[in-house]
Amino acid sequence: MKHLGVFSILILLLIGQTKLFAQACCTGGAPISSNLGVQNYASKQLSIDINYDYNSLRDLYAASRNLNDSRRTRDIRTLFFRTSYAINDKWSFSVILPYLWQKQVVRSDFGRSSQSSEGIGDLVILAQRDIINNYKHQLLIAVGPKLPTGSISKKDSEFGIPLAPDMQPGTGSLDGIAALSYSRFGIMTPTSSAFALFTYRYSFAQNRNSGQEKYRFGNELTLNLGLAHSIPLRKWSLSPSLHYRYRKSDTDDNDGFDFPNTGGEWMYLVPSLKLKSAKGLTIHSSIEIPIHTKVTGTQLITSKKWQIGMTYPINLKRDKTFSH
Amino acid sequence: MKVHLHIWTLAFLLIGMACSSSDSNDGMNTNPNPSPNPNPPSTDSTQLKIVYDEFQGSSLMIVGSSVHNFMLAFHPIVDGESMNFTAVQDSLPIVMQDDKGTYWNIFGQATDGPNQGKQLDTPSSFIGYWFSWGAFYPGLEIYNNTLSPPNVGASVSGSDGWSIPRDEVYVGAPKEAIPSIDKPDFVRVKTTNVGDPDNFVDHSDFVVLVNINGTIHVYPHNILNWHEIVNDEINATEFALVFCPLTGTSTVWDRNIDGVSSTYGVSGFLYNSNVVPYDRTSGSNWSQMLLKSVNGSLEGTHSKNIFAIETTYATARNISSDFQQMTTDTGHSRNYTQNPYGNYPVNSSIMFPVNFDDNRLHAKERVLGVIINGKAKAYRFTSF
Repeated sequence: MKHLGVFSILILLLIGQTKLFAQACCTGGAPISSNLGVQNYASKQLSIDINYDYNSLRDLYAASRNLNDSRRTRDIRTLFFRTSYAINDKWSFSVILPYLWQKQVVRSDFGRSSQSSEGIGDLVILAQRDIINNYKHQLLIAVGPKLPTGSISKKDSEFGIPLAPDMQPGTGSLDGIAALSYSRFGIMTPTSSAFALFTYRYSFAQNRNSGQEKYRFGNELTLNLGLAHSIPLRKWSLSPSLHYRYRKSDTDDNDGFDFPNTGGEWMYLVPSLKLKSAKGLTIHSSIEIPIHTKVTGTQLITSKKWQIGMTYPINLKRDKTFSH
Repeated sequence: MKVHLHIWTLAFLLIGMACSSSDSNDGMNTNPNPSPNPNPPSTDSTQLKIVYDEFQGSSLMIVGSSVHNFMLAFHPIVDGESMNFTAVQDSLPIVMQDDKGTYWNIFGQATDGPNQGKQLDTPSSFIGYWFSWGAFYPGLEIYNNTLSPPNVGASVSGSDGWSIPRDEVYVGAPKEAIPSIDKPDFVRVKTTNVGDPDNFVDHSDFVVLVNINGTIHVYPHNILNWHEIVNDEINATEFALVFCPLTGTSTVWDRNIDGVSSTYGVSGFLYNSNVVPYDRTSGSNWSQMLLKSVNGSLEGTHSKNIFAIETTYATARNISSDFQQMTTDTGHSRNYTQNPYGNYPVNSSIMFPVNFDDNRLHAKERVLGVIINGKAKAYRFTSF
């Protein structure tokens, strides 16, 4: 109960904070790929996760070169609500619903102009299966669709003209998502582990600009490789981890042609911290530090990104001690 | 052992799936329908030709060369009298001689002979990709072309405070996200000097020339692709060069609007995939290809056009042996050796919706459009 109180306060704080800012993304929609954490859930357990993701785009890159142009900035703030339920030891299902605030600002000698939008993003449903789960290895696989629930018709506040697709909360497309997660426990010390997470998003074409064009966002893959260590504290355990993230996005396709200035390769180092109570409440946070960028053409890229969230498990299994 | 085999098999399957899908989208040459050369050269070996025509009751003379890569429109009338001109080969900037023996240069100025000092009038005209002419001027006539035009008589209506359909206006980028050049820097190029100046422009690259009272400014497309608008001044004449990389159109407008000096910026809007500049004094939005303001307090006001030539850098150097060339010292850090739109100028893609499609020519064929009384007529390089 005490945990529920903490959880509620954090939600309120996060929502309150997001109203002070606004946001935007380079490919449209929520940054799903870096928020697809795949983890094991205990049977009959309902898990509620809320995650706040802040992505600040301030660096203009041409291929691997920083152009040192600070005229244009974009901020994307996303609140992810994730509910997961394990129907048995093998199968679980997750629903991820993002809410985005986006803002982009251009500062020039002639003033400051900005565009912003907010709304529910694209909903992701994942079916997850434990392939292997023992004291040494854990292999999980997850697949599911990303549904076009986010709006793609937000308009410019001054002229009432639809915003560019990358400023819309949704992508408008139905995508397929797959993830494979592997963990090896007990490396070096009993509480250390190595992990790998591979995700892939396959995008389908969507009608854009009043149905006059077929637009297809580039497919995207991410690979995460890392090490984690768990340190027991009194009633809590602290788990610092560090991982390397590689992300590759193909060029978008517009009516059969590559859309300029889309797609590229990015690499990040991601230190993160997880604090877990004996009763299961988990507070987690991470930052993404860009270490390598190679974009197609010229693009505004992430300068800093961080996230903080909480996971609260609710055990729905009937406790036989009390039921009799 | 079995466990590990499981893991690796699954991992390979997923990775293989990812790679095969991503490979199909890599690179820039993935057009499933490779296009023919959008700008077929003339089969005529003559370097420079003059074509006479009538359009909207006006006499026209198109001077062009597929070898030198330019087409220009003039009214062949001097002091109210129609004149006959003949092309002069290999003598740039001189391009023609009238029947009184006067030589005329590429800017329509009589340089030597009885009419020396006279200036030919020019209709509104500029080069652009074919698709944009078909979109803005539905059913327009093509010189010397017998194919039946589609969309004849079609038109659009304005809405919601715009003289064009607001629903057909799209946001390409935020306002001023594409930065105009407001303090252009120039380097003097004297082509009579031995050797080439240290230059990032290839001889085959396109440039725009503006000549005000003998002072010539040359603007490379390499820079214009990134900035779209240059607010400049020559000999107290203030003008803005507006370039749209998506329609391949260059126009030069007097910046003095109704007696007020202004500058233009990139609004970020696109109409028929064509740039919508805005003037920074009134905030009104303009259509480059319609040559008028389409929204705001100046709606309906026409641009005051200044004659400009779009051609290759090699031809520019033949036109003038002493000019001012805009440098990459623009105040912005960009890779000016790279086109931000990749191979867009030669493929058949159109990035934003257009009102009317016209497939008589390749979408990216560069044609000269002449606009008289709100109607346009297209001239092709194959005629030259």
